[in-house]
Amino acid sequence: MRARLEGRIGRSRTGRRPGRFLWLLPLAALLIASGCNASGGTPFKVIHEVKAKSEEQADPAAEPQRFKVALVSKIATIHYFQVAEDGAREAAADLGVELISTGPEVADGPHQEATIRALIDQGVHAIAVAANDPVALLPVLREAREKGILVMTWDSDTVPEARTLFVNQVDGETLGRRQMDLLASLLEERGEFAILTGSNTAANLNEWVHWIKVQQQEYYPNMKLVDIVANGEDMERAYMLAKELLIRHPDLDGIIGIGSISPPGAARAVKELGKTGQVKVVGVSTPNLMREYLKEGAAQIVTLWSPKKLGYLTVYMARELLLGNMPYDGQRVPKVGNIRVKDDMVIMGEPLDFTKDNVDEYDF
Amino acid sequence: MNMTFRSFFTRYRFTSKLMIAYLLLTVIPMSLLGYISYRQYTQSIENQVGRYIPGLLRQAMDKIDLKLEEFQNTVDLIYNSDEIVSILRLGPPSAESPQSRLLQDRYTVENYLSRVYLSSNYKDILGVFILSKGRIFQQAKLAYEGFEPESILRGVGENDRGHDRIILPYETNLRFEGNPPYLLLVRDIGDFDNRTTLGTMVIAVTLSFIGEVLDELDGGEQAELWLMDESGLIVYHPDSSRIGTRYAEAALFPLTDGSFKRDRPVKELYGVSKSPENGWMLVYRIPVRGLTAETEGVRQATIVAFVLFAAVTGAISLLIAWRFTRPLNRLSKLMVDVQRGNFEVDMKIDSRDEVGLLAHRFNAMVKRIRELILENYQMELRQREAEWYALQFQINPHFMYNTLETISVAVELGEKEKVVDMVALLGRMLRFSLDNRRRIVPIAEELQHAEDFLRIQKYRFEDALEYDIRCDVESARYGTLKVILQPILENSIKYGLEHRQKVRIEMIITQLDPADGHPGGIRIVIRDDGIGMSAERLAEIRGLLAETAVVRRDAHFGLANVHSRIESRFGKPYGLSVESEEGKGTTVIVEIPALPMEEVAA
Repeated sequence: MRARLEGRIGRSRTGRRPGRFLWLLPLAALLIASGCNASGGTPFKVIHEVKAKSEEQADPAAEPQRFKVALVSKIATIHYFQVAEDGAREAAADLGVELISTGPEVADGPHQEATIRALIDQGVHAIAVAANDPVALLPVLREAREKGILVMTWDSDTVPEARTLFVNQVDGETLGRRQMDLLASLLEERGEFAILTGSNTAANLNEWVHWIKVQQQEYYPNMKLVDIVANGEDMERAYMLAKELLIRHPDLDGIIGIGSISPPGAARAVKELGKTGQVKVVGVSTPNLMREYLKEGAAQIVTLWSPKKLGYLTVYMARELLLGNMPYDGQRVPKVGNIRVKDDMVIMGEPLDFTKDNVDEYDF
Repeated sequence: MNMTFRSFFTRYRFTSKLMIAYLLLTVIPMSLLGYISYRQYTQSIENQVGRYIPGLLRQAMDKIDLKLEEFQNTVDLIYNSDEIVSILRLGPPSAESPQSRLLQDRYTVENYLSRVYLSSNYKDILGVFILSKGRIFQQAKLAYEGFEPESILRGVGENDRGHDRIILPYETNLRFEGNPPYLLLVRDIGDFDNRTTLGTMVIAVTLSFIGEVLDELDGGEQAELWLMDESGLIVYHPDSSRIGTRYAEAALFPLTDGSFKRDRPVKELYGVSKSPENGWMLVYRIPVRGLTAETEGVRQATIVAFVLFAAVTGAISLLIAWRFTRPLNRLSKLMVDVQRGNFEVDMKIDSRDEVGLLAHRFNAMVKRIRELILENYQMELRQREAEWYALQFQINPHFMYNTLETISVAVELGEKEKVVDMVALLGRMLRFSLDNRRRIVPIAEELQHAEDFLRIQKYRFEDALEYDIRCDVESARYGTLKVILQPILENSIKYGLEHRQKVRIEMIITQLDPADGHPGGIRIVIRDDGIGMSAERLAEIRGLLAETAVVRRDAHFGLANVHSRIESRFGKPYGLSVESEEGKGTTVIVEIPALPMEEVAA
């Protein structure tokens, strides 16, 4: 009896031992839980990531398309368009665009239409046309647009409904009025003059001619426009027509050559007829074509822009439009500079004047 | 689980259980709650900062990019001057008077650079250099040394033409006076008309414009902001000694735009923004401690308050547990005492709660046990003593002596029959009383024994004694305690003959029917016509009978002994009662239950 009793007391005492510290267990668990943090391999844990919009575009997989852009000149064979093509090729290389540069053998609407039709069949993404005729090309360009091809014009425009954008080298009004001013200052605002133009259908040439006439009527009453002749962008023909002009109008004091082959033709005719210095020649042409005539005095001033730059800008704009980006006024185009935008027309910049003093600075 | 749970609740003491319950219900939930809410709060601060910082960094980075772009675009100012463009286009003169032309060109260009680039419009431009066709045109605000065109043009292949480059100071030997931190911005001067290049323009720009942009970003006192290139090379740091050093962990950054944090060695929060233009990265770093500095105080206060609270409530709950278990422990100890046999315990607890009730009950229980034990014990003792004396009475030596003397006289007188009968009677009496195997005997046997006694006395006293026995009960069927009548008869004879010559004893046995307050039984009335007893004497005897204490050796011991035996055996109201009147005799009434012999045998 006694032994059993003590045994019971003894057991209850030993049973108390673990219980005394048992309450510490949850506390310890808490400490362990709070002290331990799950740790990964890198020391950094992302809190917030900004998804950049530009990354989506920069993603090379998102732009597998290599645009095929066709550059159509008024006529394939002349220097001006060949130089423009150089600029376009540079842009194509810079921007990763496949360039097809082409043009008709004859600078007129029907020939150009055939060229464009051929391009539609080639499945290009964009066609940039220097139009020989603003209206004649409308059907074929409309057809191209219906097939999802981006149509734009450069150098010479069509009617607005035929294209999305016109890349204009200069403001036509500025250029036309300036030609008149240059000739007037050379002739001391007196005398007869004639205009030798590349085409009587090309919109840009006609616009300039229009502004030459306006400027003469507004400011130079003592000057008289005696003739306007179109040469069809043919160098030989330009020379022939200039010669005829000089013969037909023996009192002619000056010639304004519109279209890059007109001034050289006029200068050559003046030089060959021994009228160097006597008949002043101004106009729109390239430095390379005019360098000799300027230095000899057969031509005084020619005005132009850089056709290379124009070719470059045209391809750049074609790509931008294909990417869905519309140009904006004052936009800075790499390797071109700031452009101006009027509605659906891009104006590349101000024209350059070449004289015998600075013509060597330019190489086109 | 269930087992351990149950064993947990059965194995441990109340104090432990209460403390655990307290911890589970109070300390742990509260500390968990506090810990979780603090953690959530810091996390939400981190998340908030982590969300808005990248936006601010992006803005700052855009500003820096815009500034850089602005500086780069100052190259266009060259085109404003046809003269300068012409000089750059034409290149060094080759023919007559080359030296003077060259120096004249240099004068023109550097004059232009000074007027346009070093004017107050561009206060951050330290200097500007044009490398064109073998010529260097240079103009700077501060004195400098170590301008090396080769190191700038190095690595610029034909393919890089037209791409802007930024040259960090460690890449060149160019040093300006006063060692201001600077950057060289390199851009080609394109001849857009001729589609060639006119040269390369290098613009040295102080880094203070970055500092200005970063100063606008008020990141907090402990924040650190710096600009580094993709490889981790520090382009700008408020601590200018670190510019040009490498930040090794840049490669480990998990992203380039956003925020992240690290836990070791210090908890820090990072925000980064990468320029899409040149890959530079603006990094913001702040120790989390710096972000949560305000909450830190609250946290400390909360911890202190919590610890105090836990200590106080813990002490209270410990006190309650102690108050609760202490009486239980005392009870347990007292129970051990009781178990060991000590019934003289008292649990002094006055509280009226369950514990007090328990103590009260315990006390009552112990008291009752104590009483029961005492009662039982004394009863046993009394009975044993009574039986011992009864045994003694059965063979009363006086009686033996008197009887033997009577026999002896009878032998002398030659009364042979009388002797034989007495010896036989005595033998039967001795046999009956010496039979210790039975306590209960049939009433008939007890009557026989009483009659045997009376007959022997009759031989002795002859005509002085007369008796009459009348039995109305089935005497063989019912039982009674042994030797209860003999002491009463002995008493009657003794007192009956004390002062008189003659006594008559009457014994009547009747069935006693149950009546109100009485269970019924058998009544034996023994009446004598002796002198009786005085009222005082009667009261004394009655008192003796009522007294259950130790039986004393007394004149009326015989009566008391019988009464005590009957009462202790059958309980009240059975027993013995006495009626007496002085001069008229005494009546002793014995009442016992009707006890069938079958039950006794069983």
